[in-house]
Formats: sequence, structure tokens, C-alpha cells
Amino acid sequence: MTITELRKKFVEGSYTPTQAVEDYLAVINERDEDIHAFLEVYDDVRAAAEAATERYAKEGDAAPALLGMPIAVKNNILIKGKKATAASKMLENYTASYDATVIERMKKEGALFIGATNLDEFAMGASTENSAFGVTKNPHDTARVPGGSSGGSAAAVAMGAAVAALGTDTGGSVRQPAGFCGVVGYKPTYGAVSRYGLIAMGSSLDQAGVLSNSVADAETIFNAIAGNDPMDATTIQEDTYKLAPKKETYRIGVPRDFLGEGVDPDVMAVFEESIAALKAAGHEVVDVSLPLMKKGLAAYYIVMPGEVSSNLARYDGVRYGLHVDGANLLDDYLKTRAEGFGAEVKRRILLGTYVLSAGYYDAYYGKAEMAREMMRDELAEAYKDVDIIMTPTSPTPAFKIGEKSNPLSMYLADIFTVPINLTGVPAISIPTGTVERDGKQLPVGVQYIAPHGGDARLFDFGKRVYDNK
Amino acid sequence: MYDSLMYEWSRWYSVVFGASIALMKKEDIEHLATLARIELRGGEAEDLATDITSIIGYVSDIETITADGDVTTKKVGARYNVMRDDDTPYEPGAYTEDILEAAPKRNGQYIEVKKILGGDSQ
Repeated sequence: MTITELRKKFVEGSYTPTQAVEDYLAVINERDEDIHAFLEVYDDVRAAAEAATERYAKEGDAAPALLGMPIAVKNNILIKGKKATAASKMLENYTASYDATVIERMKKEGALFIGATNLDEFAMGASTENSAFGVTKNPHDTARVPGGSSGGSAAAVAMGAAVAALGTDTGGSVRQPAGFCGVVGYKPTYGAVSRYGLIAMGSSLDQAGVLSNSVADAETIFNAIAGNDPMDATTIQEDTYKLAPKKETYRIGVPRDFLGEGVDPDVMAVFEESIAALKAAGHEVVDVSLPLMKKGLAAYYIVMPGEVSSNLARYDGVRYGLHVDGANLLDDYLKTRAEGFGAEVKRRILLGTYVLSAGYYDAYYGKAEMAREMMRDELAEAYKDVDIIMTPTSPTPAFKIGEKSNPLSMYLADIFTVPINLTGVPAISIPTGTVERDGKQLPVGVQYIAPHGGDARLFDFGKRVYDNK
Repeated sequence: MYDSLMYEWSRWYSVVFGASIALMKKEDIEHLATLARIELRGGEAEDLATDITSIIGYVSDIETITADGDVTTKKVGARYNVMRDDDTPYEPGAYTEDILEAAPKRNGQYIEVKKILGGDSQ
């Protein structure tokens, strides 16, 4: 079911938000004990659905675009009065004191929030195994991960527990789980959507994103949440970037030198089929050279932990969140942070502390920032020739729970998605075929990348290749 | 003393000259943890030393990038110096209760913390 379909039914009155919420809650009841996509299901959603049903009866098609749409929200996005745990013991009992801008804007459009979804602690991970509150499973094969860190949001949409979901994407955390779970995953241009009220991880990389059943739905939600926000100085204006116009057919670049070793042959086969399908549909597909993209992961694992170590310094047991009492103030900090943070979070904080420390800053953070700027130039050069660039979303389909015990091997799952955050361009993961593993059909995603500010182009292209195929 | 100096020096050398990557020792991790205000327990320091050594080894690939020409770094967003008007954005006290409510310990309108001067605690 898509937002487009629900909207039609809600307006004509053949199906109501009240019925939709009951149907989604029934799915949660039936499947979530097994999948564990949700950390909390909001009991006030029924009353909100009733109100939406009444509004449709009165307003019909004049009702706001998202009225009555049951949306799942990653639990690192603040909804006033609800717990915002970031799947961490540190914030286990923290109740949000304000609405994130994305939430405020979705409320204005009438969206219903059905529940809070699971994630890797503080959005750090690629499998949702790092949650302090248990693993989420992939609805296509419960022995496998849903991806991460927005794994709960991806699983919720894939199992039919919400019409769409909000996630956050710092290095692929919307697109990669979308790929693993067979749903659409959208990461906007950096600055297109406000970060106000998102629990910060890497501030120069974080963006709120959408997980949905169609590209049109991602566009509908994007249109509701996007736009300049005085509460986030990094949000862009409409004219910040040159317009990337829609076209009849697109010229699409494939960075072959970036897709070398490490990509699963079956995933590569799906990717090649998608190229053939694009050509058959009249688009042009050419090779582009992006040699620096290979360095993206190295740059990312410097920039991101650096920003993590600085952002997470705020969890000190004084102002909000967990407090563990020690012998003195310093001991309060040490004990609170020892007990509040999980292993991956500590790993990244220490790594970040190291790369930012005196004597190493220029060699690591400085160099990584330089690499980012060079990657932006490299992309800008490529976009003189092509309109869109495509890669597989991930090098493999969903892996098994517990399979990646070494942190570095987990990090490699994001090889194709991190350069997008480093450079700030928009990208979408579109479900494209499946591969068979252990008798189960696992979804494969293909990632399409547009120039800065090219969100409208990606939606136009995505609707043609996915929604209307 | 000599050992630790040599060790420091070899780490510097590896960073500056891109030579083989220094191993993180347990003491290095403990130092970083002190800076980051995290108490390490059990075998955490040893595990982190192994993990962080391998991650640093991987990310040191960044050293192979050299810029030709002028690369402007330290850009965060596409916009700069975004400032709000210099007036009162909200009524004083409008959020005080919401925010204080989240504090682990409060005393009226204050967040309560341990004494940092004049001896031990409380």
C-alpha cells in the first residue's frame, strides 16, 4: 500500500485512517514480536486516526497531503512527549522536550505517528544489531539483518506495519536498510531537510530521510519536510544550488572503477540487468571515472568518529539522560558514560578522540576534509557529462545476524553509500530484483545519485523506473 | 622513559611520513578514554586497542591522497554565517520547565551537580 493509494481511498471514503491504523496495528501485533521493528507503539494513534477520519469526511481532497497516513519514526527523531532513546541506555528514559522540525512539519500535514522504530545505538551501525534494546530482523528472512542503522524503519515498511517511515542517513543508514528490506530509501541533498531535533551523530553528514513503498511517496514526504529552517543554519535556500532540470531521457554514469572487487556476483548481475532495462527505456548509460570514491570509506571513518566524539560529549549525566553516581563530578562522567554507551559507540568516540587529538588532526581530519572537497570536485566534473550516477546500494544482500563480528567488515557494507554523505549530494535506493540465499528471495537495491539540489530530478527519474514500470 | 619516548616518536614518524602504522597499546586507549571521559572495564581496553589499530590502519589510506592545485577545505554547509535577528526569539522561561524536567537532579530552577572545588564530594 502506498500513500498515493491510501489518499485516494481516504478522500473517496472507501477506507478510513481509523481502519488503516487498525490494519497496521494488527500487522504489528502479528509480526513484531518476531521482527522487533518497533521500540514503542503509540497508543494515542487511534484517537488521532479518528480525528483524521472525521476531517476527511468534512474536507475531502482539500485535506492536507499526509492526513491520516500512519508513519513509523526512527527513535532518534524527537517527538515532543515521547521517548527518544536513540536505542541507547544513555537515553532509555529520556522524553523529548520538543518536536523535531521534520515532525512539526509532518504534524502540520496531518501525518499519524504509529510508533518508534529500532536502530543501531545512536545510529551507529549497518545492521541494527547494535541496539541496546535487541536486534531487529529482516522480514524477508528472519535469520538476517534488516540493515542499519534505520533497520527498524525499513523492516516496519517492508512488513506492512506503516505506510512509510522516517529515518536518518549519516553514511547510508536509510538507503542500505531500504536495499536490504526491499523498500525505497531516500537521502536528500545535505541541507534540504532540517536536522533540528535529530539526535546528532555526524553533523556535517546527517540528513533525515524517507523509507517508503514508492518513489512518489518519498517525494510527498520530502515535500512536507524539506525547506529552510531558522533552527538549522545548514539548511539551504531554494536557490543555493543550480537547478538540475528534469529531462525526457537521462544520461546515466556508471563508475566502473569503483565497482571492482568485493561486490557479490549476484548483486552485480541484478545491477547489470538494471542497466539493460534503463537502456531499453531509452536512457543512455555510459562509464564515468570516479577514482576518489574508493577513498570515501577511509575519509568517512575519520570525519564521522571525529564528529561523533564531539557531539556525544553532551551526554554527561548532568543535563538529561542517564546519571550514574560516582565519588565526584569527574567520576560521575566516567561512570555515566561507561554504563550508558555500548561497545560500538565507545569505539567511535575513542577513534574520534584519537583522530582529533593534537598532532594527528592534520594527518587525519584535515586530510579527510581535503579528500571530501576533492570528491565534490570530482563529482561536479562527472556531472558535466552525466545527469545521474548509479551504483549498487550495497555490495551484498542482507547478511546473517551475528555474521560480521569484526567492526571493519561491518563498515565495508557502506562502501557505496558513504561518499554520498561526504559530498552532500542526494541519492535514492530503489528495490531492483532479488537474489536467492538459503531458499529465500533477498531484495537488492540500486542507488541513483543526483547533483546537489537535484532532488526533483531523482524523484522524476525514480518514478519512471520504479513506480510506473 | 626512553621506551615511551621512542614509541611516541615512532608514532609521529608513521603519521608524518606515512610509514607502517603504529600499534595502539592498552595505555594509549586508556589515555583516550580519560580524555573522552569513559571508564573502561574488564577487557575493554585490550579489545579497543585491537579494533582501533585495525581501523586506523584502514583509514590511513587517506594519506595516499594528494591535492594538486588549490583545495579549499573546512567547508561544512553550502551557506555561511547564517544568523538570526538580534532580538528575543522566545519568552524568557518558556522552555525552562521542559528542560529542567529532563535533568537527573534538580534543585528548584537549578540543575544540581557535585562540588568541584574544596575537597571530595557533595
